[in-house]
Amino acid sequence: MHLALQTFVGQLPTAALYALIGVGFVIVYRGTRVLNFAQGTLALLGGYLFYSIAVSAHVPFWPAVVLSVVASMLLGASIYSLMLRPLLGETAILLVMLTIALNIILGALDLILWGGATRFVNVPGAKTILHFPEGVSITALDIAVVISVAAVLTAFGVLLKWSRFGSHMRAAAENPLLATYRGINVSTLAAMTWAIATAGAGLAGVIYGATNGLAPSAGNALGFAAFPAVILGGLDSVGGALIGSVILAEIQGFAVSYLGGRYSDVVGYLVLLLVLIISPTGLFGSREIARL
Amino acid sequence: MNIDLRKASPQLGGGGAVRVKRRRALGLTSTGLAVAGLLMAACGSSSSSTGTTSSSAVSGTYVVGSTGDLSGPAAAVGGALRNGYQAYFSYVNDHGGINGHKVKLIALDDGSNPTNGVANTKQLTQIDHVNAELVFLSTVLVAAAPVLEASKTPTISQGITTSLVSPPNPYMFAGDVVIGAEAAPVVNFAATVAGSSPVKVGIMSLQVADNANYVAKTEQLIKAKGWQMVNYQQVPMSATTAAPESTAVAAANPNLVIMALPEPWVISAVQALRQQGFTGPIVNYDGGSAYSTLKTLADPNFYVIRAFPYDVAGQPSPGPEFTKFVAAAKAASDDPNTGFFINGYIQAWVLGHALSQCGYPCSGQKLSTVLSSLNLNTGGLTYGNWSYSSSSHVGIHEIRFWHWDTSLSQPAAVSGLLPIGS
Repeated sequence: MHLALQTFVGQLPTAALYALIGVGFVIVYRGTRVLNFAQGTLALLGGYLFYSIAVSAHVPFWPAVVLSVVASMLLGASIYSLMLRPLLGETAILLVMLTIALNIILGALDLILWGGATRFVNVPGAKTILHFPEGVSITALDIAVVISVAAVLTAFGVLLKWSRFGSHMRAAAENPLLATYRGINVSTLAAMTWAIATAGAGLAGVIYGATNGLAPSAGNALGFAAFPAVILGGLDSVGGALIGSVILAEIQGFAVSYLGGRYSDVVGYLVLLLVLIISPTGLFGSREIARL
Repeated sequence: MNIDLRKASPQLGGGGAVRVKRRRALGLTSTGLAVAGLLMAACGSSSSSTGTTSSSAVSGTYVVGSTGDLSGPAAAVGGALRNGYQAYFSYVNDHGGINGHKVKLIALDDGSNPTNGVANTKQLTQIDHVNAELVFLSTVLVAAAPVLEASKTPTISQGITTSLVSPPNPYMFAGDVVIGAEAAPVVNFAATVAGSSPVKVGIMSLQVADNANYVAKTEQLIKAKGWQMVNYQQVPMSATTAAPESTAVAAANPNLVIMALPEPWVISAVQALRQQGFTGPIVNYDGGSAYSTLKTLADPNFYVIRAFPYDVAGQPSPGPEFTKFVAAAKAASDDPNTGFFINGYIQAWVLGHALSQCGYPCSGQKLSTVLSSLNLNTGGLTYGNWSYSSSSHVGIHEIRFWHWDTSLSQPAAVSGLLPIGS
């Protein structure tokens, strides 16, 4: 019982990380129909920005978090405006190629700017351990991560579902021509979509840096870890990405606890395959998703 | 449905010729990929310490090649090794070179991919005609070994494998301790900190081939001591954290944990173990002995095996060569305590001394002979002499254990010098 509970609780921060990156995939896909393969590297870049602001520039922790998320947001908008916008209306494969190129460019920039060594940031609460019944324990930092991510994802959900921005985004994604005739600036909307998704990724990078340390290889690892969760939940569903993240993280955690570390990827991807065989668009994805 | 937004929407600047737009789009994508390629090249292509021509025979320089991961999953280690090589050869070149000849380093990126490593090695041996090669990963080395052997190119490798040094391949030399050989000192040291019996051991290791040998030997030694192995977890390289594996290990109630985890996994592994109430000693291999690891964890009950000293403030220097190493690192704007930087520096240092004894010009066969009988006082770079022999191509023979001293806020040695076998 202890192991099961500890595994479940212990995997919640990992699920939160997957969700934050995964929702970025979904938002960009929903808003611009682009599958962004640079999402993990953008997350890592956010972490490195946080490192530079907090450690190199000696900015206190919380202002550093805010600054790095804002910087990520601006980066996302810039990427869209400079690289994606000129290609609007092009085929999906071309846009996917562009995000792959972006992933390589950003990964190389990380190495050039921050070097190969693992970078660490001292974070308040990282070593404060809280104990619960059944011997379950979690650090104060992990609780803060889970609560923060839940709050951010709720805000994303409200923004997309209930706000004018969200309805415009849906309209632009479903029929850009009609949206434009209705006075929606599709281009600005898409830039904002990228900004929001990259801000989320940047926050994920901050969390990853605070809990694990930042290494150049982490970008692809984060992207590849979160992507199956998105596919599991459905590529165009924010709620699906969240649920997919929790399911995947917990399956991986339980596989490690009861079968061993070498089975975590195998079992995770096996479940993903089974779900896709039964429901090719994931658990909550719409049936309009194109086959790439 | 594929909507041409700009064609459809005047607001987005539509109405232009589709073909022109496509060509521009393809051009932009090509440019993006080209920039990506250039950046990859900037990270991973050749770098020269002298800027002279590539042929040693023509230019009068020694040419040393290296292949390592500068952009892939192990770039943190590969980059630090390359910086260490570069720092030493820059130092040497600034001080008159070797036998009056400067050294050119050609550092290539293999991205941890053996195919790239073999291609790099062919370029280095057949086109650049290097005097010697420095190789990082064991998987790359194993793949490139036939090329190196055929071209009679002596090679010093961080990731040497047991199969290449036992029996010794004439052109393959270890640039660090062999991971499998760390098992005995780790288990023996663990016995001194494990406390009362029965000792129940949890093992955590990164899922790579070299570590499997270390774990297998550790298991044998644990059994021989009458200890009980209660849990063994392999952490995949794809894992973003080792916390789930720590949960499984902690649940088995060990009173000792032995690890073979480098950064970044070691951080989450140790923190998760402590979070779940494990207070016993943790002993890690030298791959996870970076200064930053000890500092981040600041855990006095976390021990690491180490073949090289740290640059610790307020302590007397271990020796004259170590002082030069610190100066060379600072001249290259590198932190001497960056994980694996010292490894790269020392491997270049050993090669430099072998080239010095070999003379100029220096054939691969002659250099191999020199290396096979090399016996160097490292002046504090290692804990004892660095010596190869015809029967052993492992140069390091002594190690010591370190931990984080919370009162000094820096690493401190917790053992005397201990032998490490080949």
